[in-house]
Amino acid sequence: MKNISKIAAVSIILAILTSCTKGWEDLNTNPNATVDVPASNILTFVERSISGSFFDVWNIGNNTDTYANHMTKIQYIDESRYNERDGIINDRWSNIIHYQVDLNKIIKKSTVVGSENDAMVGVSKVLSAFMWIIMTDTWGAIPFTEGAQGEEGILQPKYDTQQSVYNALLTMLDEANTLLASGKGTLAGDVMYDNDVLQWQKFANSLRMRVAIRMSNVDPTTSKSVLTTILGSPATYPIMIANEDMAAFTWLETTWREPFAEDKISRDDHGMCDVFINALLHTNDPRIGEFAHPAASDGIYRGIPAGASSSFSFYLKDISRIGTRYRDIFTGKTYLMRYPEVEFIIAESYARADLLNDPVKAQTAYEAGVAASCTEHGVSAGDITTYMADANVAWNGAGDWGYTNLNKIYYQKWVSLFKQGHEAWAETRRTDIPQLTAAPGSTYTGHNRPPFRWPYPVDEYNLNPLEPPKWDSNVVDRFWGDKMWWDTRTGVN
Amino acid sequence: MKKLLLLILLFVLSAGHILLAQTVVITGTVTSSVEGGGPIPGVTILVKGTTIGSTTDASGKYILTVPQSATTLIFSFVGMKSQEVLISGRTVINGVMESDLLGLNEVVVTALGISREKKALGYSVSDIKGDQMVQAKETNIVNLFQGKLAGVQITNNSGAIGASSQMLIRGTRSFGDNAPLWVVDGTPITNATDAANQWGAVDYGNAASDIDPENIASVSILKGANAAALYGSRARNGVVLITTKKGVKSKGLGASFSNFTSIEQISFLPTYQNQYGQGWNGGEAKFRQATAAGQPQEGLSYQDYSHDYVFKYVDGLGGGINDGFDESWGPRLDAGLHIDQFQGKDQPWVSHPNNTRSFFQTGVSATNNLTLTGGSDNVKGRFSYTNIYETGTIPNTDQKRNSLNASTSLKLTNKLTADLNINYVLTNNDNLPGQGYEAGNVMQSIGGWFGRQIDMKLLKDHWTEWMPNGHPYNWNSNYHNNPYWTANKNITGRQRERWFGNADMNYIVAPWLTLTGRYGIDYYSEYRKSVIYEGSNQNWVGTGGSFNQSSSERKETNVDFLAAFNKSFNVIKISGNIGTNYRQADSYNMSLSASELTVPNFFHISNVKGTPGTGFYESHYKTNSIFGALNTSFKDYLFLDLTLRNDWSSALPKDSWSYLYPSASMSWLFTETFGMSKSVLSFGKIRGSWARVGSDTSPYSLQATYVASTPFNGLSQYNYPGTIPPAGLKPEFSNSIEVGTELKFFMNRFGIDFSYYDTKTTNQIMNVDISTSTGFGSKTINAGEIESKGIELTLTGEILKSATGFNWTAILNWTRARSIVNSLYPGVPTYQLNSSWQSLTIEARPGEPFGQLYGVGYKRDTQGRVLLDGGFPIATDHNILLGNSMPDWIASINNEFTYKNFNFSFLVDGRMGGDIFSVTKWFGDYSGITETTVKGGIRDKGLVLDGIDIATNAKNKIAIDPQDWYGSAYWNFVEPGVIDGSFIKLREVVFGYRITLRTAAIRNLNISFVGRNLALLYKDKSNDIRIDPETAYGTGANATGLEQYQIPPSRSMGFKLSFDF
Repeated sequence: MKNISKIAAVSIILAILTSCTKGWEDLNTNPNATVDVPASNILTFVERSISGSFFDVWNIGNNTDTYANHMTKIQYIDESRYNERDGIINDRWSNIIHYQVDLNKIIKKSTVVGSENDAMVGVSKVLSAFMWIIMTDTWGAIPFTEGAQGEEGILQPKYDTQQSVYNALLTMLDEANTLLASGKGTLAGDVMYDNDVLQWQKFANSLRMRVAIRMSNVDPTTSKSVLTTILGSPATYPIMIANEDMAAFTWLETTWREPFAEDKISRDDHGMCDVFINALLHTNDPRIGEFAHPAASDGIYRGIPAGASSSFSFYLKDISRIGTRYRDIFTGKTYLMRYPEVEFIIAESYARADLLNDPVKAQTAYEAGVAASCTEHGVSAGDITTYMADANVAWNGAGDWGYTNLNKIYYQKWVSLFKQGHEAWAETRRTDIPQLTAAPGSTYTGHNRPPFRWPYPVDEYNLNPLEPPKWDSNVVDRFWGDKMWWDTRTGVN
Repeated sequence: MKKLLLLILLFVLSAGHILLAQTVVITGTVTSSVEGGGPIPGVTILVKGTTIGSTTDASGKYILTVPQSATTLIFSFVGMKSQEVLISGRTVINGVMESDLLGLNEVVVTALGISREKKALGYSVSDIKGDQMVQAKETNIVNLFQGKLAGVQITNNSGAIGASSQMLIRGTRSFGDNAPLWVVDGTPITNATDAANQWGAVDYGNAASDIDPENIASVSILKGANAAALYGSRARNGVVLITTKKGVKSKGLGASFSNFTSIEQISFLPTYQNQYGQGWNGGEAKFRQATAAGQPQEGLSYQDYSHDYVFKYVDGLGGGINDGFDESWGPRLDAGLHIDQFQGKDQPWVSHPNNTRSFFQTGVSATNNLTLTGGSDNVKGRFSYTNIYETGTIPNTDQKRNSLNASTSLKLTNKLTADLNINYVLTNNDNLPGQGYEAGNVMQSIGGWFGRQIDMKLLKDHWTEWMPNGHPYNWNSNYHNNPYWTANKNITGRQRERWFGNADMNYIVAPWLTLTGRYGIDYYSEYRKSVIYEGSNQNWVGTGGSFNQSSSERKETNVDFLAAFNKSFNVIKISGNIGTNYRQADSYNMSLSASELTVPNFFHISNVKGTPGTGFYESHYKTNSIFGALNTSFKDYLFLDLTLRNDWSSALPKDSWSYLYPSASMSWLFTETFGMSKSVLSFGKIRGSWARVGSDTSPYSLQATYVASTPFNGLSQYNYPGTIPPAGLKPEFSNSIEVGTELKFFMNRFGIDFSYYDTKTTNQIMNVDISTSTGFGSKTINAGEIESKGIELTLTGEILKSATGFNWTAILNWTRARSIVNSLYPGVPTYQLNSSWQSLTIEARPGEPFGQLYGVGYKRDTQGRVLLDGGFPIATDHNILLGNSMPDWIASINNEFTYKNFNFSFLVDGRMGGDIFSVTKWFGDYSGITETTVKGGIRDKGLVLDGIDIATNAKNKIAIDPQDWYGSAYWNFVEPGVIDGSFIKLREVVFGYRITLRTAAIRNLNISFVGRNLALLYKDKSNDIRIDPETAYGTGANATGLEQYQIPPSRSMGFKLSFDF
């Protein structure tokens, strides 16, 4: 009897304990966050986030903008001297690929049978391509094919050559154009173009031209074919035709502020580079007052070398700072792509014999580009005319810089890309116009140009250890040696 | 809950037929064998093999009701030999206790609060008696364990008031939580720690500091998983088992009072230089270079050069010469120069060697305790109130704590007792200081970048004023706050209200069977508010100030049922228990913050400019367990314990949320077995054990959930999480073995206690960093194997011993703990524990010890000599191994001397090895404030670094300017920031005098002087910056190995007064 009651007690206890797990799966369902969200809210995040994390002081102001000699750091000059923080390199790499995961989620949600939304897929592909371009132009070979597939089990993705990435991007953007043109689905959550599908289509094709022109020195055949197709059928391939078409993200007065303006609240580390200011002064550029503030001490526009040497002494008050529209306004813009760039791509395509070869159309596009950039910066029509007459600016003008018409296109493009450091750095590497020099205070001596590339992230060496060594054998001093596939400059190091 | 009531009923019913068992009341007096020793209060009397017991009252008397079948009583007391007395039908049993430092029959509290003879245990248990916990005073109980026990490592996270300390028992065995479980009177109590991280935060301390040492009767530390198998998963890192003092039967009221008052001072600061002030290019060599013939500043005097080209204050924002600079590569101090600093006029350029030190104040700590006890045969109670008031070494920081403890024991019938224990603790901080790398940490400013010419008195006298540049009065308006502004304006308040305690019912079913039911709760609510005033560096002018406030609640309930049994069959004795545990943990947190305010400095959420920041988090978690233990002994010299436990955890997936694990341990007293002569080897024991402990993970780890950010223009923003959730998660398991021996010599005057353990944790549930090329930063996996091994050695000795004369006892503890990662996961080459500046990482790589420091170092030749190019070091291309954060060993020696009524003791402890990346040193060298940057006159004569010149392949002879090295390229190398964290400290000194008064008013008066953290006796020479090597952020595996502008450690000296009345 005693034993029976004991056994009964124990078995009842066991029964109670096991039945006490009832409702536990609900109990362990996270009440603080959700496993599913609308695609539109992911899109809002991606647009806002890339506009912040690729266009803040850490990602352009400290480095690419200074490599392009638009700006320089004036205090804590390290990055302008190529002392880059490893964390920033890690972040740019990881952010780009993580956004691809987000965009893939949008694509997945927008391709569910029965609720297909081509517009959302198209926009995702445009943004995806936009980021891959920045990534490959920073590092060359990148994990394009195998990247962003951690959930599918690829934990150590292989890298692809830059050439294959470029070709794939042309395809991706062509697909985007087709999807955006299909009329299936509508946009939601788009805070850049306010859900206007046509604008995205223009951005897609303009971006495809950016890709095509970048590879034009190494694969002119492909470039020519893409440019011919786009420029030959504007109805199928609409592109940006006015400043209003620009791909830009507009920030808010509070909380989500333009990153440079947000930085200005607490820091004063950036000023104008002498190369840029001197060029603007030399051509009496009417945009100078928009790009820069005159020095506080004497009202004169004055830059300093990007990455000045430590013995270069200067007063902060004697340096031009970044202009109002680019640093002082919380509700300012982040520019992903602007209209003048498109005109300069067209101008180059026609100006080059190996591409579309039509000098008359080249001049038209060149002048439209210069005018559009001036207009964007509030320059009056009269002042534009005066500026265009400057010998260093005028088509066929014989300026003291000795620029060819093609060089002038490159120069004007460089000016128009202010505060688009990724693109400005890429283009100065491709065109060598203006011809820049390495920072006087460079941490690495013996180089005659700003960096060619960024070193692979330390995290990649640690966590994907087989890949970076496959691709970095030519790298010299972390930032040089290994040129981009499309970089055909010679005599540079 | 209904089910649990049913469960009680079941127990009662199943035992119902023996409810009529008889009991006996035994009384007696316990005295000391020492001459004039008199009665001893507080002696524990236990019925052997049960939890039935009592304690003696103030006059040494006790009353105990025992089952008629009880055969033996055990008398035990601190420092006295425990003794077993056969009842043999007596109802009056007096005890005489003999002093016994290393008692053979020592009784310790083990898992589930069960008292066991130490000799029977097959695993290592250390114990500390309550009086040792109140001898020296610490308001954070964790610090009291410092240097006291082998295998236990305590790290003070900082010298800030209220700061947390971390406790590691037997080192690191997991990538996640390595903190031990705290149990008070059988109820788990959270030691949740909210420490600062390296990037800046407030250290809110560790929750175990709510335990008032005044209430502690004894503490047992169960070190291994072996010892802790019965507490389940949470005990895998060891258990701190606290038994509180209880009421005793007395004629009148027993009352005691104690006061402890101490002063706290910073004990040491980093070593700063006092030769050069703020600026750039100000050293003599730079001056000669700039003013040489043909140079722009040719022929200028040092005064004119310094004034016009090196440093001149105009508006502090870069309007002058380098006046926004916070680095100290400026002109020589005390050389008769005159330069404007931040007062708008030129003033003598002189050093202020004590400028950093003078900011700190003398803190005061006062603790008052009043304890009342009393009781009759059937009702006993104890009531204790403690008030603590402390001020920190940083001005305007404080901590106030009021603790109430009430415990009652009711004997309802001869078989049924009910105990109630309640603690209420209210902690208030008007301000806790910021730590880590942030403007809210005063040490970032005055300890990391402070110009050596700055007169702290000016900052103190004028901190309420504003400068013409629109910023608060300060030495630098670009990057720092005036430290007085930080201390007085940017404050963080906190209030925590905590309840914990338990209600127990004990029922003696039969002489061999006792049932216990226990309901324990641990609840706290905490309110925090941090404000930052307009004009602070954190948010700059025009933003109106900012604030963050939060309130959180945490509740844990444990319900236990336990049936304990005890039987003897001739030479074999069997005892054991079967029990169940139900546990529920819930937490809630809500926070609101404003990064800008409309009306400046009005810190209310209605005043937010823009979108308020919000936080809303809750967590729910349950476990059920069933467990049993079987303890057998053979002839009192061979002991075998077996345990078995099954847990069900809500945090795991359904198909794996139930997991079972066993343990076994054995103890063999070979001296008793063979009846060996006791004159030399008086006692010898060999023990061994094996245990397996399963554990789960934190709630909500199974699914990927989107991360929300503040809405943009009313649109919610979501992004996919950066961690890949696990698929098919399983519980993780630790398998441990432990062997050890306890030997006592010369009639117990000398003792050795040695343990070796090896724990392998497999299937670890961890978040590993993965290549971000995957689109994710980490993946939760269920893999890998970490092995931790260690040796613990305790030597004890009564070096001098006489009945009433001079006595000297010494205890030495030595511990070595090593953890190695045996394997990880395919595609995961390393586990990153932490990272810091310039990609310095602390890692666990397969095949390597835990806690490796990797970073960019000096390129070296095959002989290990540093390679130099033009006099400058060359950086390695990638991260290289720079050190390891785990100590080689830790050790302590405690010496105690007594002579008549005097006692004197001192504790020295230390650690060998354990590398640290010190940001104070690294940035200090970069900013030119450290002694390293001036010694040997290098700013004048130049610096010739030691190494091989790659041009000549010979010893380097090229002199460089230290500014061009430390102030520039140095930043690319983290190697020079890595120092060896070895130290020896004079941890504690106690000097006391006891007066035994026989007057009615006051009895047992004790007065003692207590000093804590008195001196750093040794540090490694690589620690030339002289930071406190005891430094950590948080409590996890990744907490050590990084230092970032630590608040200087404090030295405490005070007097303790206590008496009974």
